[in-house]
Amino acid sequence: MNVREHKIVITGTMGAGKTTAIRQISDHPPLLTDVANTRRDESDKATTTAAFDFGELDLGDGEVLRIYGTPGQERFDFMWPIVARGALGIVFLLDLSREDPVADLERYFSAFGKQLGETPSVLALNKLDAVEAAPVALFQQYLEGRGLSWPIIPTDVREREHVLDLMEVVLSLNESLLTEES
Amino acid sequence: MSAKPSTIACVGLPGHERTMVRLVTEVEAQNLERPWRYGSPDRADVVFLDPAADQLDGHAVSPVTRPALVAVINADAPTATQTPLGRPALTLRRPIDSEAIRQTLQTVDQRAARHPAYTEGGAQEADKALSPAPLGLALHEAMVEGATRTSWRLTFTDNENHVLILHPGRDQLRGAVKRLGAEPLHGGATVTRARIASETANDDSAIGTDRSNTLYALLWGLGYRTEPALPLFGDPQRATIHLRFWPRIGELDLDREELRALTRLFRRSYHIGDAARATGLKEEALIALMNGAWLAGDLAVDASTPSDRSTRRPAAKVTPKLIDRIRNRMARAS
Repeated sequence: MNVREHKIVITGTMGAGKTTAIRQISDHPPLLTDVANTRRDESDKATTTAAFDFGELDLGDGEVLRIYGTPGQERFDFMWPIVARGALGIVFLLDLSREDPVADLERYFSAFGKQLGETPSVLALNKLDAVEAAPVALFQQYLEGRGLSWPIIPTDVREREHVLDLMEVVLSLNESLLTEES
Repeated sequence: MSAKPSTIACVGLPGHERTMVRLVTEVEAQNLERPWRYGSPDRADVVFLDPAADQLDGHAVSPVTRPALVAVINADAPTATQTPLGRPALTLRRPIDSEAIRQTLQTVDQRAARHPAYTEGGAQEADKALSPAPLGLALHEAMVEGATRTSWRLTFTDNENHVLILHPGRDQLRGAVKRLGAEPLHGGATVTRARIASETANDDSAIGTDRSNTLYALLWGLGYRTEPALPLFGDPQRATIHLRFWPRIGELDLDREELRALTRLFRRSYHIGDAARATGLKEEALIALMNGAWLAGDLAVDASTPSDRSTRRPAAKVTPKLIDRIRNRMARAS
């Protein structure tokens, strides 16, 4: 039987928490395609995702929702927009413990190109323990400077409810767009 | 200096403090902007009084001069919001010295210059204690009035003298806070409404476009949690509302229906009734949410939705039915 796939994409740097987020809501343990991390300067992780991870929620009637995590290493950046094509939404997951999360976001924006304005998107700020307060206003200004108005949500993807909140905002964005279109 | 001297008096202060006040008027006359003389409370322009003193009974202030009252209180005492002789315009904490007295007189002069009614009793007439009215009611009353009168403010004071001040009529995020936590706001903070006597009063110094996390979260929480949830942003049946900014809601612990409502209102303007129908959230819950957004400066009222909301089309395959199915499936995962 052909399975009809819908997808939501989570993208972010190595170690940002993409696989952890997927694990929270997938029916099955996420399918991982890890390889040895050849860029220990980017992240301390021993392995990292080579192609992509995905988790799955069975919607019944032959439909599934797949949550894809893009590969973290920059050498795979050509794949990011390909994975996100046709997605219901993209969650940009930022690791606030990294040295320059704004620069990280900039790299992802460059890679996704015009897809940024086409797919409902959310900016999720993860690893809040690393900072005194989530720099939401900073990212608000950054997005405004690029003509983007996205929800910016401090999160902890180790918590299932937080990941479900992110998914709810992606769905609500689509719902709003449907209303605006009709 | 040819101006007619104003009269200063003391009520309920111990002898050494009375002497100090008197000495300031006599010895430091050259450091004062205008002449002062020490006199009787019933003819005074300014009265220093200790609201906790026993011997206040029998004293009265003149209904004609209606002096500015300066409460002199102990260092660890809660701020006096009322005295047996009326509402104090200023508070001095012990120990008081000549410099504090001189500055107090200077402040009285400055306020009088900006608002002549101030030393003529205007401040006392304008002051109005809002407690023990429910906080939501007090906020609503002040905000509705504040929309047309920029010169009103709300002051919240807890028992430890921490202060939050709201200026309802200002366009930007309004407020000044000195370590006032969220809990006291809902646990018996004193709420007073007063006409602004001076734009440069010390406690107003932080007012402006401050979007600091502390004040922002405090204002969001104040609007969102205060009961009853009466609309602070205007007539909810007529006003259209949308979110100018996505709220920084990390600490508010909103449920999914509320997140859904925020997302809808982030995308476009709604009347509150339409927003309630679109999101399934009760109007009262929506009003509470929008009260928080409004106090914190995230809400736009009667403004068109900005056209730069980036994404303009949903994903090709998405339908309302699909969204419902995913949502239901997620709820089971919850």
